[in-house]
Amino acid sequence: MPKPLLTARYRVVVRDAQGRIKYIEEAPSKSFILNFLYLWWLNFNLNTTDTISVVDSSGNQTTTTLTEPCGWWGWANSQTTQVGNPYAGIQVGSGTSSPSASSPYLESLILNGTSPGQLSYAFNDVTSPSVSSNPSTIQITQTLTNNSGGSVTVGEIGLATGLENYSTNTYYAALIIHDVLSSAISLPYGGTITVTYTLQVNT
Amino acid sequence: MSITPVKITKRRRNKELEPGIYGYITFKVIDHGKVVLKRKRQMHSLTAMWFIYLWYGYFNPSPQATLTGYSPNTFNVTSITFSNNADAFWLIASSPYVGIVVGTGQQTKNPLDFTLASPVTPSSTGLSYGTLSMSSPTVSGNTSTLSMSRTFTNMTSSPITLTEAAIIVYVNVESATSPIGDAALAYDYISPSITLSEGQNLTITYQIQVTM
Repeated sequence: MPKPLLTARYRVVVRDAQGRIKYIEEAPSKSFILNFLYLWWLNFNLNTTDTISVVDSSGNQTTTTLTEPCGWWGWANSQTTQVGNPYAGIQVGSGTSSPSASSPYLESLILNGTSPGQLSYAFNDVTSPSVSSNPSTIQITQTLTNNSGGSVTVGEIGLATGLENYSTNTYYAALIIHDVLSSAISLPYGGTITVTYTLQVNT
Repeated sequence: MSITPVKITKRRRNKELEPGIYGYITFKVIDHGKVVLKRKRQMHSLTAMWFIYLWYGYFNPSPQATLTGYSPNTFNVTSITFSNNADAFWLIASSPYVGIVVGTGQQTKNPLDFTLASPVTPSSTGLSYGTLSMSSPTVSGNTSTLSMSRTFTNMTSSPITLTEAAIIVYVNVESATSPIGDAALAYDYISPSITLSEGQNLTITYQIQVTM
């Protein structure tokens, strides 16, 4: 049986407003998507112009055409400057449909905020890569708080990378992993949901 | 307000292949137009470059680190230092020193090794490196595939035995106007070794597959 070079796992922990753990789900990530290979392709650029589906800094689903290798960088910065960014890093959504390889977006992304149906995104906390042993791992964690005044349903999660189109100096986010939870979670007002992706390279 | 009671879910899958990223290498030797060897095997070989790429490129928390790689467009071993705003890595097809390269040595696989044991220098009178070719990703059902290949030709009258292969990428940082070095993204043994006689071609194809 072939062994994957690279795998991902996710862990979701739900807490109520008092901080008590109410639900944990941990599973292998099912769904690296086509965008992941497109980003490799665009970084392996052979002087080829190509287009990739992304989200812009206003949250619009769009495409950007790259004429040179794109930078995967800073927009998913792990520190405080990126608090409240729902696009790059870990995303959560309310959709429940199965991901498809060619679909570059969550079904229904939950935006950052305190309005009904929104969640407050913290920063993407990234561990320094562990590469001294096999397998090598890296973790990305995001904790979202429900300050919306009501419950918010979470059915899907994903991981997106920030990228820069150098020719226009414009930043975008591109989804690379998309998973649907075993069942939708109703996150109560004041509660939190912590999503962790662990990426693992098997040398 | 009611919420879901505590439970720990371990999801299991029954599909043949675990979801993830898979890699395959195909070796094909051609002698006077005839295929004399064809072998396909699995890659086991991503280096930590992928993580360094994520860590320094994607998440960019402005750390610093040094790795051992090559000076750009050579096989001269050197130190490469990442600093603030390191970003993408990439290949350029016109350089034989990046993309798929081969060697005559072998070393214990280590995710922190970014060079070959004994790379073969490209030469029009030695081992000739063809142009790297790549195809854009394709999707078929639950599998997406990205491929790259290069053909090597023995231009000498003596046999050349190849025992290792790698994918070398340029390393770039935003503050530099050109790559600051080259380093291996993947390293694999050619085992059993492949010996090219005079005039024989070896085509190596790497396939990176995403399986859902």
